[in-house]
Amino acid sequence: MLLLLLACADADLKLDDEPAEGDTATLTVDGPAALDPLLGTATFALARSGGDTVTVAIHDASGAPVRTLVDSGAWVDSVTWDGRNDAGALVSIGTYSVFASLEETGTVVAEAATTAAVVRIGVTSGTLGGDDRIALVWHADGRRGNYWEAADDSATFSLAAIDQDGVAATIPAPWDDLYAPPDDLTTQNLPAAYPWDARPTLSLVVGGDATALEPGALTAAIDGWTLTAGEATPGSTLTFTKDTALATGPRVVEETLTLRWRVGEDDVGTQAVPLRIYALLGPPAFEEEGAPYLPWVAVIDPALRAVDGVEPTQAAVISGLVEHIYRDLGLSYDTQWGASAYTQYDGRAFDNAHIDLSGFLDRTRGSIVNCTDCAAILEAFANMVGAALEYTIITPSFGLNYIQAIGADTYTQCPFGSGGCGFSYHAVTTPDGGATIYDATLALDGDTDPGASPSTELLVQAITGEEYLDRLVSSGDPSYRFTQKETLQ
Amino acid sequence: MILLFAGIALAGGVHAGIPVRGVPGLGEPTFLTPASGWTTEVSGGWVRVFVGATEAEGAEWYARQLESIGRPPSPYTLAGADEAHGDGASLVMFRDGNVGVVVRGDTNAAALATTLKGAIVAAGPRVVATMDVGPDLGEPYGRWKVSAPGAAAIRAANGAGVDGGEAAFKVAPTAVYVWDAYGRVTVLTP
Repeated sequence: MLLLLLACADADLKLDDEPAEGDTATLTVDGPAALDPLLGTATFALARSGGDTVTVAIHDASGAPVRTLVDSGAWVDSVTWDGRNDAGALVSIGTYSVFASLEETGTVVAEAATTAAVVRIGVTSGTLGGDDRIALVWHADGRRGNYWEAADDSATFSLAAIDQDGVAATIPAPWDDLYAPPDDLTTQNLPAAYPWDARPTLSLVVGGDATALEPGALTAAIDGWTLTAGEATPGSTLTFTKDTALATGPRVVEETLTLRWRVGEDDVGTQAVPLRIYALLGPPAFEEEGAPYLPWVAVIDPALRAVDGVEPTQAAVISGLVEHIYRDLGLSYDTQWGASAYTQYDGRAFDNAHIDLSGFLDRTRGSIVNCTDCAAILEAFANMVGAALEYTIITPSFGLNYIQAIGADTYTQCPFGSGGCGFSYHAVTTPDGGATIYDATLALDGDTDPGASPSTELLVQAITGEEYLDRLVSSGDPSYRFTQKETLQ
Repeated sequence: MILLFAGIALAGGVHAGIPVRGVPGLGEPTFLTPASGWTTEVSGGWVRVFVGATEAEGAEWYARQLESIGRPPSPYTLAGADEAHGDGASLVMFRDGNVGVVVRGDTNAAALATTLKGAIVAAGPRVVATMDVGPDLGEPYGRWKVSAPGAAAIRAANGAGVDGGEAAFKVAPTAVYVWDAYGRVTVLTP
């Protein structure tokens, strides 16, 4: 934006000590076309030939000086303006001139100027969108009656104003209470959820004042996202679309985007947009609908972290969850009774399993569980991250080969001690009516003789229903029955 | 507080239930489904209580509980109970008419089971619960409103409640469960 270049020989300058002919001093000043003083500063480059000292000052549109950056000081290659006047106050929105003069032994020998528009720009709210967005639930909202649902089109964050106490308002870090939503929903930054291969959109409402710029001069950009709708004008909405899939598989995507406000090739300022997005295998896979059957943040956050890096397949995800539940949650099998602490069957026989998932997450009734609990927990976790799973019951009673129950450190055929060498039933999970089995309650003996010690740990991750029974059962003739989806609260 | 209960329950028959709050040793109740009853934590474990509308409902619940224990317990003798199982130490379960109880504790389940047996109330006033459907007033009013003075808890299946924690819904629940102070449940459907 080089606007003015005056040689010392210019007659209008009325120099007292004109340099000798052929010894012309020159001066240029160049810098960004716009400045948002709450988002950044503007640096103006100076170049010269001749002279020894320099003066740089900012003038408003009427020509009145508002800020002296250098006053006949030693030469500098650049000056930076923070958008404030000599009193330290922010200047008002408008167009300003940056005047530079080159002096030699106290006499001005060259002058140059450029202009810079002072603007104030920022986002006031943002919404992660797109057809694939999945609603989330915080399950422990005491004020609102347990479940609070962030709908699939609800705002991700919002700010009361783009400024707060004289500084640019910061978009809050993503809300990190996994159980309860914030009391003030208007100023928080809530996570969102999508299938892992979705390409989310991010709509940003623009606020501020950019009247000092020509319409259309201000643009916005986010690396890795493409502006697909809207203009960077206060009052309008910008919509960016992610260039690639959200993730390479199920995981928690935590990323801080850099929103760059630009005029031409110049950055006016940047804003950090922190996001937490849950990349699920797919939409929740429960049979029931309603808030309890949406992904609970308290479930999917740790579950997705546990399966981070696995292939985006149902088998890989459920297998990862089996290991997570079996090893990481501090659960132990009820070796006295095999009684469930969190799950009951509401129907005849083993129909209509219902888990108190809220109670389980709080461990309100301890960490001693049974197969019904483990199957229900695995089923809930899997369906919430998008991997369809049902429970199924192995019945009637049967004798056991060597197993290592959850929380145990040894293999045994008698998890209940002497005389307790079988199960009256056993609950496991399956995605396909018993053809494939997942079980977080126990590890099988994976060697060639599961009825003899020593044993080789085999987690029950996508084992065929036939092999599972072969390895688990030493006597009896049980089969898979009562296969169905659970309910939960 | 047990001394203040409305009546003394005899074995068998249909009782009002067991007070969901105030029995010594019990924590804050968690209300499950009408078919599951309510539950709470106790020292070293948990308690499960069901109050059926009929003695047959109580017997069916008890049978389901017995069936779903991985290591079937032996019969146990608890005075006044229609049936009981367990070892007296870590597990005692019993049924008295329409009321079923499972105590899964650490060392003295029998004592708590006896306390709960003694806490059974023969009769008590029922909560009058209604659900009204009004015009769609949106947030924060909702359209479906539950009135249940004296209820111990109100739980909904599905639906969407309004902000504010009142028993009001902007999306109709498939059912609303109103629990009274004795663990009985009334099911409302829009």
